[in-house]
Amino acid sequence: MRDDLAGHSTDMISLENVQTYIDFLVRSNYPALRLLGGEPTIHPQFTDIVDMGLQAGRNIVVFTNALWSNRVLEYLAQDRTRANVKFVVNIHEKKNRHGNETDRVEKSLAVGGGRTMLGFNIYQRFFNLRFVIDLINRFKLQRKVRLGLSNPIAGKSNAFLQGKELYAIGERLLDQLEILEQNDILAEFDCGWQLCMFQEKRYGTLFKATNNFNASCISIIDVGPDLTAWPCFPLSGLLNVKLTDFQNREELIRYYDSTLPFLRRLGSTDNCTDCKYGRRDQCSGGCMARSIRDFMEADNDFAAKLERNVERASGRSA
Amino acid sequence: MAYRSNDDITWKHQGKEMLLVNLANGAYFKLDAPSAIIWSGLMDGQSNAEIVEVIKDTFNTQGADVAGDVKCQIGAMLKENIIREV
Repeated sequence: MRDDLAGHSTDMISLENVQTYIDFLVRSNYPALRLLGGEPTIHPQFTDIVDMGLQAGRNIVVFTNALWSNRVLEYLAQDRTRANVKFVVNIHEKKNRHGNETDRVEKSLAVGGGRTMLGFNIYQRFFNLRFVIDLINRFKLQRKVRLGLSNPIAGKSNAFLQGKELYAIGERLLDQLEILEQNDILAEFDCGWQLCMFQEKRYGTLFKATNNFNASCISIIDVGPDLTAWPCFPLSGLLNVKLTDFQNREELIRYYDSTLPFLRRLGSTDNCTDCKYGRRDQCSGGCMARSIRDFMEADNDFAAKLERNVERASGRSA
Repeated sequence: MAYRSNDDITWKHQGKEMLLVNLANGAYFKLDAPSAIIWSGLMDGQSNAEIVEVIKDTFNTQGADVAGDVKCQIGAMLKENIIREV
């Protein structure tokens, strides 16, 4: 579970809003301040933000492309940030890096070392994860890779993997995870995965090569620079609320989970409602934004209906 | 007679079929292909007679009481409170 401070536009969050958010985390008894972007390290006050989180006793997790400036590199190399600042470095295959990106990323990985987990977002059918073995070995990174899938953003137009592509990706991925596992590297899965991407006869590989594979969908809560909150990035176009209208994280999750589980249970594929793994809550059927996108295409009033029901079910309607 | 969906009902296509869900309580309904045509027709404001014609054009309905089936299906939707008369 995570709770993220996300900047998805060119807007930069103010230190005042950072403090409001940290106060919210403290009230929620939530231990981590997770910084996402865009790229959080390009915020001109990035080091101040990290300091504020550390002073409030939070563990910091920075989701980053690792193209750090010298100033950020020096800051993150300091002893005082070592214990409680961790990184998820979203990495591309070498063929998809430009200019001197490889040199810059490797400089950052040298600073991050064991505080760093590599993250790899699958956005196309053909990919090869084997390059992470060398990076993990050379820079003594955490021996796991966080895997994300490119999902639709409900209500917006973006490039994402189509349902049919997921099945081919599942097989390719398992082949590569077996090689990673032989190198003592395990996979961790971000949300949006579905069990039926993989053949049942290969579920053993999922068990062996991953850190607790799960195909669940939850409200993780993202917060934007203006303190607008939403259930997760793929649902960032829906159910936007003001963070300051909620006392703590539990209250905010309760708001979203008053109704969203009804949709989650339906899964994202045509077969999900009849699937034994769905019925037994072993799989949420992939990213809910896939399903919501279909509802929005068929029913022009979907967003308004959803908002009205969430308000009513959570007891917040006027 | 015209109909519209209950305010809490939303829907999506699943191939030729349709999945309806009640956002107030999570109940969902799967409509087969003919029922999906009835649903789409009602949402588009078509009359029963127009819907019957679409079904006849789409399926082999020889010998079937299509008008009776459509009326019966609309009655069931009213009973389930997924549509209402307007």
